[in-house]
Amino acid sequence: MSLRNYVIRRLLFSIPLFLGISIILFALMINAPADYVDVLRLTNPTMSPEEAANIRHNLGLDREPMEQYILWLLGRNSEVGDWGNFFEEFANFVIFIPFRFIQDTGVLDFGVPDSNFEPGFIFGNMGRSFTGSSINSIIGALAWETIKLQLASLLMSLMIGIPLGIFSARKPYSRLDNLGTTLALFGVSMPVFWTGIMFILLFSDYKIFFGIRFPALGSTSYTLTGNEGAIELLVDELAHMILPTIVLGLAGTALVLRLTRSSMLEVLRQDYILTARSKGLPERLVIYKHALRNALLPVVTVVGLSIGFLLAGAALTETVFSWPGLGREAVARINLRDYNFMMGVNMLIAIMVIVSNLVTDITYAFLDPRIRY
Amino acid sequence: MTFAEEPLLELEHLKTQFFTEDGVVKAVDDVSFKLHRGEVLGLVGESGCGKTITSLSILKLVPTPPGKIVGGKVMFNGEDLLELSEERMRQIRGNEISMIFQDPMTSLNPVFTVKNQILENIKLHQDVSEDEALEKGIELMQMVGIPEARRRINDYPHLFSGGMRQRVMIAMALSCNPQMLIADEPTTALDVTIQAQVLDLIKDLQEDLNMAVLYITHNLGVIAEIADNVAVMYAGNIVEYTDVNTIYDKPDHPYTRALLSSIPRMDKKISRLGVIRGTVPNLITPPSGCRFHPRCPYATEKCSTQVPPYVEIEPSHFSFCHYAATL
Repeated sequence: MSLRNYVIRRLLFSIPLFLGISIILFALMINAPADYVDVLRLTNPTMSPEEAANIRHNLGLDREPMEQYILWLLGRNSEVGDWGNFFEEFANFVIFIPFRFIQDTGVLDFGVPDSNFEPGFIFGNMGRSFTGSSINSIIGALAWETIKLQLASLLMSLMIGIPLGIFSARKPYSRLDNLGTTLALFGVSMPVFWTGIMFILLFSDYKIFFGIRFPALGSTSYTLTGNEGAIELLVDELAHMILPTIVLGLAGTALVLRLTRSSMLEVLRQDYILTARSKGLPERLVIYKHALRNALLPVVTVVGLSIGFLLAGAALTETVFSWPGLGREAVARINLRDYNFMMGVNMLIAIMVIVSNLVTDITYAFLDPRIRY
Repeated sequence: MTFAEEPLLELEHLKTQFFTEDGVVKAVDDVSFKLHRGEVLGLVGESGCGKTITSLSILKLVPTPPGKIVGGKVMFNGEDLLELSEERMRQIRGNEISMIFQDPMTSLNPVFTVKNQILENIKLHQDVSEDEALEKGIELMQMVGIPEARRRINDYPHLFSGGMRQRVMIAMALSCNPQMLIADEPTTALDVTIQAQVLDLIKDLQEDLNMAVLYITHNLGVIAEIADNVAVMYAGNIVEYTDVNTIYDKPDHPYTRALLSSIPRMDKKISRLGVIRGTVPNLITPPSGCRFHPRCPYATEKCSTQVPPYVEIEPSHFSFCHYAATL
């Protein structure tokens, strides 16, 4: 089977997978012991049962679970928030998608009528959160902050973890190896909320690093006036990233270091390394050509999987640093029992995991010629 | 067969030890032998007797730490390899002395094409262009009998069978016309018919190129097939050294005799194969005196206390035994 067929087959298989995940998630949300209105009543004890029932009705929470799911997945009439003439409106919407798309670009006007249909999740619309705003726009606004932080810490874990792992494997039980593995153990065992608070204390409060106060709150300074130049803004943004990136990257660095070290140790024992040395290759080529490519396979798997969870955000790190990202938002929404929002975020994570797994498998085929699909 | 000229390789009292947590493993202890141009020397012995470590010591590829060459000389073309810089050593490896290994399934790097791995060697040691190197690589693959070499050179190692991979290894090893080839049990991992083919190939190429070959094996049958001279190793020592006919007709050392009586022979009727009682000694605390004495049927008091001398029984026939030529 060619790689192309394999990718097509995997993508087709991911459709039922995706539906299954959405059904399970939806069932979990619907059956959770308290809903959004219960939380509202906690803060507003005077709310009457009629009012509560009214809010539930407006949010559609009083419908049959199956009905709620289909309305979420496929779409609804935007005026009544209900089925309306579901089939007619649904068919109308689907048929006119390409025309409406072209019409929206302003190139041609097909005279497609406006539709009352509010598309559901399969059309890429995550709907409205219980507090009324569009989930797509909330996520759109927050996603970049999270991705920025995650990519920076991923980069840090690769750039520190891989070279240190290689060094550790080449000189096992040397002083640097012991230091590295101890730090790695520290990195994986310390909870991020503790290291986060310690970093804020040491680098922001006590200013132990040359008396520099590293910003530890949010992703930009709240004192910005709006008159700053592009470079000033960039510097401000980068400065805010330093502490959270390091805290978030520590665990990843530790993981990559340990993985690289153990896999490199394993590879260096292989016969083909001895073959490479017996050819008279310089040590540099033996390590970076013959050993590294074999040793990186497990690292690729782990990094690939972690990219899948990138959007899940690091809720703890984001909370400690008041980082305006998706992770922190998700925690707040869980406390509100905003199930619509949680459905959106969870499905997004599920899609990312499915896609990143596929990408990891394809990468594997390029790295290791023995793998054929 | 006699070789009048100066030896190409001469090991003098080579000692290689491994410093482990349990103690010092004296893996190669006072090993000396000579190898001439065009000669095939068989190095025989059971697993763990130090054959492979001897060959890795010649190329200075003993894993360090824990291994270390602690004494002796490895004279190659009049130079002591042990004195050479790592850089000079790299020019010798794969160029003047090549090595092939036991398991062809694992000795080629799975993620690079055969072309990449053969050409790497050529380009490292010779000043040739990419195209010249490729032609040379294809020529080598044809020389070792790989069909459709021009097409197959682009394949990855996993697409070759075990025997074909060993041929690739041989092509790689011979790519710079080395003066000496170390073959570390190159046929052990192959099945019998392929063994014979690979053995014939090595023999033919050795004759064509007039290479010196150090052929390491535990298989005495293979030795009879290929070697001119034989060195028998036991527990880090060479216990007997002679030419290939003498070793089968008039073995002297009790270990050699025991080894020969433990294999079936076509020319003699043996009702029951011999066994060597006991186990291979631990090389951290090897037996005192002669290392073979705990298992030797002829051992006396003297054997357990005094290290035996190398006795030259006849010209070029050495035995490492107190009772050489008398048993």
